[in-house]
Amino acid sequence: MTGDAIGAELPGLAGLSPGAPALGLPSVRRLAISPVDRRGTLAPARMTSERSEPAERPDAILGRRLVRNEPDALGGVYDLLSPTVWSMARRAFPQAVAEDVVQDVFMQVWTRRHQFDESRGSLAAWVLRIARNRITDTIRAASARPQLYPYEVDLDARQPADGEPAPWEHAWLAERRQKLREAIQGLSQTEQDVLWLAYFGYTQSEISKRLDVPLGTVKTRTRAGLRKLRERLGDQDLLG
Amino acid sequence: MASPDIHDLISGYALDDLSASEARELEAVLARDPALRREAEAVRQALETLALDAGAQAPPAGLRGRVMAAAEPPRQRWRMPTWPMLGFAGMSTVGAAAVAAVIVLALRVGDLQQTVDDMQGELSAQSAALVGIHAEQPHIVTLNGMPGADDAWAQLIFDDAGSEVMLVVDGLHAPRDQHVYHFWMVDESGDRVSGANFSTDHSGSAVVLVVSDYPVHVFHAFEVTEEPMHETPSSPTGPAMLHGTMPQ
Repeated sequence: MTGDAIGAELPGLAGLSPGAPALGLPSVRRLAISPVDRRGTLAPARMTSERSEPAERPDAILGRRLVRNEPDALGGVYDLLSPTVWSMARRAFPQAVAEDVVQDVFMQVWTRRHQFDESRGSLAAWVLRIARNRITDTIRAASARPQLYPYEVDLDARQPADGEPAPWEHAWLAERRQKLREAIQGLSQTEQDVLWLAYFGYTQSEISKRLDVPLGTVKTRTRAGLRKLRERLGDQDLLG
Repeated sequence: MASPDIHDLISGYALDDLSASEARELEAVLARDPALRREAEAVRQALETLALDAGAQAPPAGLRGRVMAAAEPPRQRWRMPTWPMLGFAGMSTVGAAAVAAVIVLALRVGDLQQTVDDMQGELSAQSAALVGIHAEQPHIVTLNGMPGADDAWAQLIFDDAGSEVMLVVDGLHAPRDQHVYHFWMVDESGDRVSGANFSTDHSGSAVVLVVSDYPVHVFHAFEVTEEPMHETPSSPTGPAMLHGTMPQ
């Protein structure tokens, strides 16, 4: 995979640059699709204000490259999604364990690439589902030996994705993260906490103990929180 | 219009938090209401988006290199077997020339140039690797012929590391025109990981070395199916011709 080749599949990518002249049409503030360097990696995000033709989402391009077995495709997927996968893993594990988990996630992405079906969902959703399952499995395995591996999801370590995207994050993903953040802000802290724990496979009983909240309350808040999240996201399928 | 109770059930469905009776109740409703089924999937998708709430920290600098190094594409390789040491009944008289013929016939499959390149570059290394397998007690899994290939038989041979698996096939008729055989590794959830394409010669034999990204011990079963040539299958398109399970 080369940067040139990706650029060729991203109509409207060429010429996107901060401060590009307006075309006499309404200006829309948007996050630009980042260019791709010659190693085929995705360059850092940046903010720009301009109008352009809609570009194809980067994970769609990478998904096709992955299935076609192109040698640099996995690197592109890693560059796009590893900050998210890494952050997920670090919520639950110390660094050494998180590194192994992330490596295993991307190894699964590679070895199971032929199972990826674009018609059933996006590459981002597929990869992050693999990550979620891998993290959940590791937490489950550790819970059987808590004296050795006291791993648990750290609710306080979440970092709101407000403001400018991190320099290593792709703009396309940063934009979606921000939209999620806006949707989540309408949920109470308890609703966010129970949803987050449920996302990582905690049972309702485990959540009840963890948060010291009655089981019935956990069930009510989990379901209510998810319903609210769905309503606030509306038709936006951020990973779809 | 769905009642609030149904939406509550949908949330429980997305969270995998329904009792058996609730799940039956919801499934009955969803079966009658496609719009509600789409809504249930949308709620499940909403939960999936929580991954983005984790943040976007930069992973350690060296991790990318580790991932790339570990993700060497699976390769199909060929090596010279030494049957007497492996103790395959009926194969003890197979000499190097005959085995070479099997290999040459097998080369009719797939990307010839790539396979030839692989052979030329790796033959000596593979011979050494085979010696390594022989040096330890090999693990052997038998695959039996299924309907349509009743006389077929195969064995998988691998060492404790389990990263290289030798598949030895006998009695499996040549695949149909424009088809090849495909070796699958099945995990505990039933997902199949693609192994390698191969063909058999006129006597129904083949020897294939599959390099697996995962230790083969993690898989629960193994299969061989017939697949269209020049396509990389994501899942079997036909019934298993050979099937075997990992001994517990």
